[in-house]
Amino acid sequence: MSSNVRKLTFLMTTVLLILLPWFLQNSSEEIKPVQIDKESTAFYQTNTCEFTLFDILSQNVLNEKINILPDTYSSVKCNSKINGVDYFESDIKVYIGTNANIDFLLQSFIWLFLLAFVPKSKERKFKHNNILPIAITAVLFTLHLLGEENFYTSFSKSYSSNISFDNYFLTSLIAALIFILIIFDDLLKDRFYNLISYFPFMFLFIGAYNTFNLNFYLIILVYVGVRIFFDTQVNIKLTLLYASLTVFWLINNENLYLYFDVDKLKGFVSSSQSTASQIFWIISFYFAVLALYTIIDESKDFVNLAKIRYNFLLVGGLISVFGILSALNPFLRFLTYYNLGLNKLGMGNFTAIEGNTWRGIAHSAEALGEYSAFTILFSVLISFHYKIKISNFEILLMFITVFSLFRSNNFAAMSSMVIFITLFFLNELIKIRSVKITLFIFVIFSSLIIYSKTSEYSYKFVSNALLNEAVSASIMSDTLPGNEDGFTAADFSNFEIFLEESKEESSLSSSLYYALDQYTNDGNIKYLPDSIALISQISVPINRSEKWGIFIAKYNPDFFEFILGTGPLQLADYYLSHETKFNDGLVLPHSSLLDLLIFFGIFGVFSLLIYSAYLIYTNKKNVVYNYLFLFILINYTKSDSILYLSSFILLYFTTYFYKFSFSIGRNFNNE
Amino acid sequence: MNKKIYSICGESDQIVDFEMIGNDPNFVFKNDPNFETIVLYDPEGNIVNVNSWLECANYVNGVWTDGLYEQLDFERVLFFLTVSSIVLYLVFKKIWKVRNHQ
Repeated sequence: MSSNVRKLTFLMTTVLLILLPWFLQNSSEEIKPVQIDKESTAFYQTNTCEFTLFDILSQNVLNEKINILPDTYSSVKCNSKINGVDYFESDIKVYIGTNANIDFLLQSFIWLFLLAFVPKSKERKFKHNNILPIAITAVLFTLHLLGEENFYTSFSKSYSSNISFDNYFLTSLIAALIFILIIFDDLLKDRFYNLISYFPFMFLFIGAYNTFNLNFYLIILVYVGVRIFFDTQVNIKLTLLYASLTVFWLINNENLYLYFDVDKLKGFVSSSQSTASQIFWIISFYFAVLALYTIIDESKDFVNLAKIRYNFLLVGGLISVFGILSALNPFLRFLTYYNLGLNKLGMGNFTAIEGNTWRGIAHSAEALGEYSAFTILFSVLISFHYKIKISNFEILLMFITVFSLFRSNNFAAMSSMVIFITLFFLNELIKIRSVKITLFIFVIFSSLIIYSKTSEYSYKFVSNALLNEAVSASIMSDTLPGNEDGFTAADFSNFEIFLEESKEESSLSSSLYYALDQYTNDGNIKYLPDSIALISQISVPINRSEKWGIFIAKYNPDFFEFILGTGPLQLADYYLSHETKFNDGLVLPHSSLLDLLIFFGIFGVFSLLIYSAYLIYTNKKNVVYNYLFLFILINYTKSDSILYLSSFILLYFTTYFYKFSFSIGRNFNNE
Repeated sequence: MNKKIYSICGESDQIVDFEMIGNDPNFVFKNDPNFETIVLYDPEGNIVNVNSWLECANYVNGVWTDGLYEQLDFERVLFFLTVSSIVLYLVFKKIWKVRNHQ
């Protein structure tokens, strides 16, 4: 079979996989679907599980009032059928049945077929067969299903945590996983060295399952990690360190079957605090990181920067196109959500959400802005530094990506991108080192002076802002007496009153108590600015004082937890163990550093910062690497991007980008 | 009328006012000697014998079913289908390998 015929067959199969399930089911012959409006709501409520998505399509294709949502609790029989319709003033919600067992097979196969489009590379030989890696991945998968019971009981009627052969919910999922891994293994060997060039597609095909707290890429990365673990010499010291930390995290865990609503973090964070779930996430994180490192390290001689740039831009363009399509039509919005594996449904309109932002199909406007800005920065730096020709089509894609960036309204991403591009060109144009340094210092100081002169806030306000927000988020602030105008001590930054009770008696979180104590009782180190005030001053101009304040109010670790964290991807304890005014809804820390503090403690944060500084120092002559890496570090410090698998992999890619950018003389245009 | 009612209770030209039956606490279903008793199940596993088409239609209009379709263990079917697919895939892969080596 020729390559083109094979590609066409794959493409047609993928299209069939995407469309067939939504109209293949038997529909009612006696009753016919009608247009969905206020009057017909009762008709659809009576005749549930009768019509498929495509049955209602012809009558409702231009119906702007409807909003199609997945009914994630559906039986297999009612999968892909209309299981309910609810009328609201704003819209009419139409629920399409989606069943966990079918989702797992169907979504995995769609993404497996798409993986087959990655061109073949040199074969990656593995020393051992794949039986043990498949078995280990299956055991981890089972642990996950058993450990996150509360999550899965809300998604499947058939869910049972009984370990028996008769538990067909579980056995059919394990069988499906084995099937998926067998096929993936066949695809992997021939494409191993090309995977990294196509990773930008993870920002389009997000890979989050509709009814699972799992991500397709996490499963395959874990599998690759296990294969590599048995195949190559892993770093024993780091593995032993991680094993020791694992023991600490497990001993410290209370084994609570809580339910943390993962919402848009679906697929890359634990929804429970059970030991089984914790074991799954800790081990999975290790194998996923091992797989990523090995893929990047072994692919360095095969990476084609021109191809990566093209893929970044193509995905940037496609994200915009799918975002627009999703906003135009509810059917397209639902199909986009399901087939791309989005963490949440795309936006149903073009109007901005909070802060004039538009996220399209991305999980957050911030992440969309970061991706778009990174894509433009990467393309400009790569094109000019390595002199790789850029086609007209790529320039068009860049303009579309700029559209996404502006609509996302991510000011930090936009401004940092502009600054790094400016610095890059200055660096390319000016060859005298002393002039360069003077100019850089001038740019930095003049920016600081301009900010301080134009800032509308007083020094005292910006220094207190963070703690003000933190005490306002604590439940203790509600118990304070107010003056005749209703203002309390919290409003006047009278922090001493919060320290009247001892640490043990106080309802403040341990981190807030410590911060207040340091701030009020002169914890300053001579000649250095107060650390809390300094963080507060940074948080105000980047609009993070409220979010970081809430974090301080919630973050309540004991001493050892503060030092070593609660384990990777464990947010349940942070979210649910300490009561504040923000216990409902997903109020994230809004800083990847704070996320890392929860996961790995201060030891982990400092280790990673030192490692980052080491990488920047050892690659100080690699301008492209340093600008890309610094761009990601700065932006991730003020966003939770590390909690999204695709953004996490972008961080990983950028961290080790220096491995690819060594051969400046390589002729990328001919590859 | 709901297709499910005809499929479980059989064909009938009766027009049923379910609302009226539901609102009348004293409504009594008359047994139909020509109607073969049907056993219905609710999601909790309770059982009821219905002796007329009207009684059957009333129950099926609620959440009761005849237990054949609804109680079918689709996960079990899915399990055996997946296992068969794995076996078929491996067999075809083997044949493909052998053919390519020849």
